[in-house]
Order: sequence, then C-alpha cells, then structure tokens
Amino acid sequence: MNTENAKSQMRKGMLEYCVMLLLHREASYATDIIAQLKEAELIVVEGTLYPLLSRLKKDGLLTYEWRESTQGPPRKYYALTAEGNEALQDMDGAWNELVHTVDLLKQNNSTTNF
Amino acid sequence: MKKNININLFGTLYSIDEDAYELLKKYQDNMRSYYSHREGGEEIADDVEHRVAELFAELRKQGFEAITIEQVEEIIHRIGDPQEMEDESEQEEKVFSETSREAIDKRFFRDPEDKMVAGIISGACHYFGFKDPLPWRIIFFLLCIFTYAGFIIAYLIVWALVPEARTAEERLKMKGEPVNPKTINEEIMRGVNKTKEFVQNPQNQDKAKGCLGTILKICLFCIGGFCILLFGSLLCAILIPLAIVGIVMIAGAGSFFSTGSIFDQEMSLWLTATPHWVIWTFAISTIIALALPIYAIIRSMVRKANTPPMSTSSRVSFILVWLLSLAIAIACMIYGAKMYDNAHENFENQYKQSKIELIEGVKDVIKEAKDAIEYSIEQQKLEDNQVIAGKNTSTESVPAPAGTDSLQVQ
Repeated sequence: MNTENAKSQMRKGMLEYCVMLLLHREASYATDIIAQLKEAELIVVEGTLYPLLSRLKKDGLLTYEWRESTQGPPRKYYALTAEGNEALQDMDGAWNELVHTVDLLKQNNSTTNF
Repeated sequence: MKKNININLFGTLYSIDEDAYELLKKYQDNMRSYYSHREGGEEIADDVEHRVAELFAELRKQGFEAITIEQVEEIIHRIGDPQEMEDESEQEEKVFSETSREAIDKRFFRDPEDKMVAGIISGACHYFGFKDPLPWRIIFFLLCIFTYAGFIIAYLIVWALVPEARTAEERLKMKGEPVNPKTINEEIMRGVNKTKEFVQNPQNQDKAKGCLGTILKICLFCIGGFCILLFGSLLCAILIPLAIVGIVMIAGAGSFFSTGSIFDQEMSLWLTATPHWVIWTFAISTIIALALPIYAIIRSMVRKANTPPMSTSSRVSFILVWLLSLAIAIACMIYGAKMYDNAHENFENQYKQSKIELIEGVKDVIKEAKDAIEYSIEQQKLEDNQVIAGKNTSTESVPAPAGTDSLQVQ
C-alpha cells in the first residue's frame, strides 16, 4: 500500500490554506514562508511556493510590497488583501468541517473496532 | 584547479566556479523558458533567482568563498525544477493530460548537444528514429556537392524555421520520450552531469566535433563570406546608381536623362520610359532582398553560443518579408523590361519614321532642285533657240525693232 502518494496529496491540498494562514498572522517574505512550511514538513521542494504565490496574487487574494533589507537586496513582503481574508474565512469553515468529519469517522471507527 | 567567475545577483557579487555557473545558467534558462508562456512567469523566475541569491549569501556566511558545482546542484534539488514546482491544481491537469495522451508528442527540434553546424541532421535522426547521424551527415554532404549547393539552401531554410531544443522538455520531445516530471528531472540531471564532464574534460569538445565538422564549418564560413561579398557588391551596385538617380531627381533635372549625358542612350530611354514609382519600388525591394541575407549571415557568424536565438515567429516573418521583397523586385524587373521593350520599339519606330521622313525630305529637295535646274535649262534652251532663230531669219531684224522703236520715238 502506497501511503506516500495519499500523504503528499493531503499536504498539497492544505498548502494554499496554510500559506494564507501564515500570511494572515503577519506579512512575510518568501524565505520566511519557506522556512516555516519546511519546519511543518508541508513542502519538500522550495520552488513549489513561487507559482502558488503568483497564482494567489493573480486571483487578488494577496499583494506584496518591497521592503529594504538590512542585508542583501530588497525583499518582497506578501500580505493578504481584504478579499484574501474573506477567502481565508471561507476556507476556515471548510477546514473545520473537514476536521469535524474526520473526527466523526475516527470516533465511529473506534466504537466499532473496540 | 578550476576557473572562477564573478556573477552579479541583484547587486551582490558572488564567486562561482565555471562549471557551477554553466549549470546555474542552464537551470535559470530552463526556468525562464518554462514559465515564459505564462502570465506572471517572469516574476516566478525572478523570485527563484532571488532565492538562489539568498542561498548563495548563506553559503558565504558559512565561510565558502567560491560556490562549487555540488553546492549549485544541492540548491537546484532544494528549489526544484519547474515541473516539480507546479501548483497542485495544474499538476493534476498535467497528470490527466499525460494519461490521455499516452501517444508521445514527438517534434522536430535541432539538437544543440550533438551538432556539426546547427544540429539539423542529428535532430532529424532523432525524429525519424535513427541512432547514428554520421552516415546521414556524409550522405547530406555528398548531396550538397551533387546538387550544386541546392541542399545547402534547403539546410539554411530549415535552420531558420526549426527551433533548437533548449529546455529539458523540448529535448525529451525531440527524442520522442514521454514528458513527465520524472523524465524531465532525469533530463536536467543528465544535462548537469554532461556539463560537469564537459567542463572537467575540455578535450571532449574536440573529440566530439571531429575534423569533418571543422571542415564543414570552414566551408560554411567561406560560403557565408562569399555570400556577404556577393550580396554586398550587388547592394552597392544598386545603391550607388540609386543615389545618383535620387540626386538628379531631387535636383529636378528630369531632362537630364533624355539627354543621356551620364547613362548611355538606352539606359536613359529606360529611365524615362518606366514610371518613377516602379523604379523606387524596385530599388527598395531589391535592397531589402539583398540586405536581409547579409544581416542573417553576419548575425549567425557573430552570434555567441549563449545568446538566445530568434523566435520562430520573427524568423517566419523575416523569411516572408524576404520572399515578398524578392517577388516584388522580380515583378518590377519584368515590368521594367516590358516598358523598356515598348519604349525601345517606339524609339526604333520613331527613328525609322524620322529616317524615312528625312530621306523623303531630301528627295523632295533634290527633286525640287532638279525641277528648278531642268526648268532653268529649258528656259535657257528656249532663249537660245529664239536667239538662233532670230539670227537665222534676219540678222538685223532682232535689233531692228529696238532701232525702229527708238527711231519712232525720235
């Protein structure tokens, strides 16, 4: 049984939501986001983030501004737009439902199994 | 020992080994060409470059002075190749389309990795599934000789029309292998290893190219030079008279031609017979038709290996413009020749006519003169006869009337 594929699909599905959660907390730039996502083992390939950010920006869910950096070139700081916040709330609802469903299923399993 | 280059990434200099640079460049080019068709793709590629710069800065902080190929490889694995970076939604589409088109998408590309001149023969071999391009190269070379360079022209046209397989995806398509993230990654890593090998062992280059390639290259260079000379001199031959004609036309000395003081009579005849717009159209289209090949040849001779080639659309438009100008030039030539023929005929007719008129005029004059002479001779004869007759009848009778008259008056 290949669980790897299913697990990676789960992570992929969550990725967009997680990125938006991170950005909702504070505006941050790509490397911060990458570091946090890596810590949570949500991404393996760092580059995955860039097309995702580009698409979210295209959909108007987030914007970015250039900020001077103490070291190196200026950085792009991404932040959610109002529309992005709305979308996030919508997704929050969906996420809670998912968790609820999964919890229910688990409870059912545990009651039938034992 | 390795050669080291400095690269500038967003205003900061990094020292990097030459092979590592080659690899990084390949990676970046692949990234850019992959995302070039997409909205915001340029930005994604830029962001990736930013990330690379950051990772380089980190390495420097760790105390590495020069970046090695292993480090670049690690960075590439870390960031991933474009196919791996795809969004989840798009990835699904890709997977779906992959299963739906199991039939492999094979396309004709020029092979930049195995080439003598432009990689057309090896590209065609990939396309038709032959393994070794060498026999085909020899056949092609012989064909070029036997068709009096006809095949060279065909080769040049194909060169202009067929794009080079520059990205991993294109290389896979060229070889007729399935295009999916796995094969693309393999292809990139194969390119990486090849770059490594290639740089570590510079003799590879000489070995791979061989002497046939060198000879062919020299031949092509010579042909190119010859073409430049030929087209160039033709261009001058068109431009200089054109300049003269232009100056004369601007000076408004239209009659200049008819007097034929610079050009011989026939040339001036042609110039006066053909409408000016035909001459100008002819001149401009001929200049374009001559200058474009010169530009193309010089460009291909001077172009560095790393600069991107012209896009297919601009190539096609180039060729279309060239063919169009050639067609217009030829049409103008035919039209001009016809006009000249007509003018020449008219001129001849006029000339004959005037000759006939002249001769008849002369004849008339002669006839008149003759008549006058005959008349005067006759007159003279008449007088003489009268004189003789008078003498015969009476020698004194002729003066007599005068004498009698005078006498009568007296």
